[in-house]
Amino acid sequence: MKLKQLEHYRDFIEAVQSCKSDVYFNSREGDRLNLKSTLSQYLFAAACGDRNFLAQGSMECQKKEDYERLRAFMIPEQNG
Amino acid sequence: MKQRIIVTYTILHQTKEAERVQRMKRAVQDVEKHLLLLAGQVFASCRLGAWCFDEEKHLYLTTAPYQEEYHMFLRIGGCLQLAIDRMEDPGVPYIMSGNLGLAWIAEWVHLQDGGRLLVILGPAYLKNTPVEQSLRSLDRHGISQHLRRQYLTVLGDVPVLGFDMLRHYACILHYTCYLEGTNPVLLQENAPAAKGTEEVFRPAADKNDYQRMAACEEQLLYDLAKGVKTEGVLNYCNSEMQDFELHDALRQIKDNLIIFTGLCSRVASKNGVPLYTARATENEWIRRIEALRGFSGAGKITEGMYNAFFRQIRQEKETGDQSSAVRECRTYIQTNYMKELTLEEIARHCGYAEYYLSRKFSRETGIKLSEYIHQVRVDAAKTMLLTTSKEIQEISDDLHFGNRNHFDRVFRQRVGVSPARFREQAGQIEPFKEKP
Repeated sequence: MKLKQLEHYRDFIEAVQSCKSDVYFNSREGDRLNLKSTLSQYLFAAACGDRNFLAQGSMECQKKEDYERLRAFMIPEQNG
Repeated sequence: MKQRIIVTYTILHQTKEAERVQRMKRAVQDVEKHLLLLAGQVFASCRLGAWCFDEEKHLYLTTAPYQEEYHMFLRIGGCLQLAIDRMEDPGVPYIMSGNLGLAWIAEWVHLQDGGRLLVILGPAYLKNTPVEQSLRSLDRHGISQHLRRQYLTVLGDVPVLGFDMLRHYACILHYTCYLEGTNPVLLQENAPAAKGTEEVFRPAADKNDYQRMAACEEQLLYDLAKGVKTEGVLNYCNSEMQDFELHDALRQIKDNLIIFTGLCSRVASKNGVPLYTARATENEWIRRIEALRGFSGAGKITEGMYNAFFRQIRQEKETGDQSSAVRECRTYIQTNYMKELTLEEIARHCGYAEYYLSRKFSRETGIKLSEYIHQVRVDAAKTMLLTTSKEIQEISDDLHFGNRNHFDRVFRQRVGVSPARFREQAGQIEPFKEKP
């Protein structure tokens, strides 16, 4: 799923930290950031200023319930 | 100008309590104005950002570039929470070091309306070490050039300061708010605030300090050899830190601690601790020292390392009447409890028949070999429950308890409560006493 442009991405990281399992952000350049890892969080924070970074990457949660926790930050998928 | 200098001089030398209170009142009235001036000055001098948060963690002023990014760094590294936890302790400047070695200065300030304001200066890198560490981490994780460039662009604006400079800025911040001098306090990285455990920095070292350090080191090693509990370990570490500025700060403190670890290991092996055990302990602590990412964990590491050798020497002294076979057996269990231990394997390692070793162990120690293994593993489980966020099932698996029920039962028998309860209540009630 795609991420919305984040106004305050610290809220997003806090929501990620509350997730039950690992949450990944896959960038267009092939980076796979586990947003539960501190280094990845630093990298993500540094890259978020680039609007393309968020727009072209995608989110991946390992548990369905975690998608629910992050729903507010994601762009709903179009059916069909 | 002359008059202003004389006024400042007078303020610095006022010592009476009533005068101090008056000074405080005056400082609080002007604090906001002074802080704005300070924020501009520190940014102009070395691009060090200033941040002001209210009691609810809301940011309402910053002079830092990359505000969102650095604000995230402040949170991710745990330093914002560390400073928030200190709300009830205003009037003391702190130097904090979070993940990646980014350092911050913080102090709570009284406001005229009775409120409190958290002022933070940062981030700053201490010399170049953390930058190099970050680059190595990026290499290790195969991060793309694109992401790497963005990351380094943001970090490129972080000023690189010597530790002494950071200490000076902390003193300036405190003087700006309270019109008095003080020594900043170093907070442990990512550790919950606990009064009385801080390391207070003293003015820079002179020749006598090196002599004092050497004397302190000698005394600590003497106490260690005698198995006498000593309280001077943190002081020793602080003495070590005073020499921070000469070269690469973090590398220097690591080198000093590694040498001290080697000396402690040698004292331990000379005082009955099996060479294998002493070397294994030495290697383990060197690994932890090398893993230090910031300067502020050094005090805890030194204390932990010293206490580990102290416990081993003490144990050797207490069990000196035990045969070498039993001591070897205990050492093997203490160093291999994370593996699946069988009587057959232990006996083979010690070079005795299983039945003989088992009987000998029970006779000399008063407990069965299997009970001793449980004792060592329960001790390890207690540490893991308190110091890691591992699931209880994972801890049970790591320590080879077989299944969760068995782990719960053995833990409860020895500690009096279940592992979950132990973790939940840690720090809230009196320490648990082990059942005899």
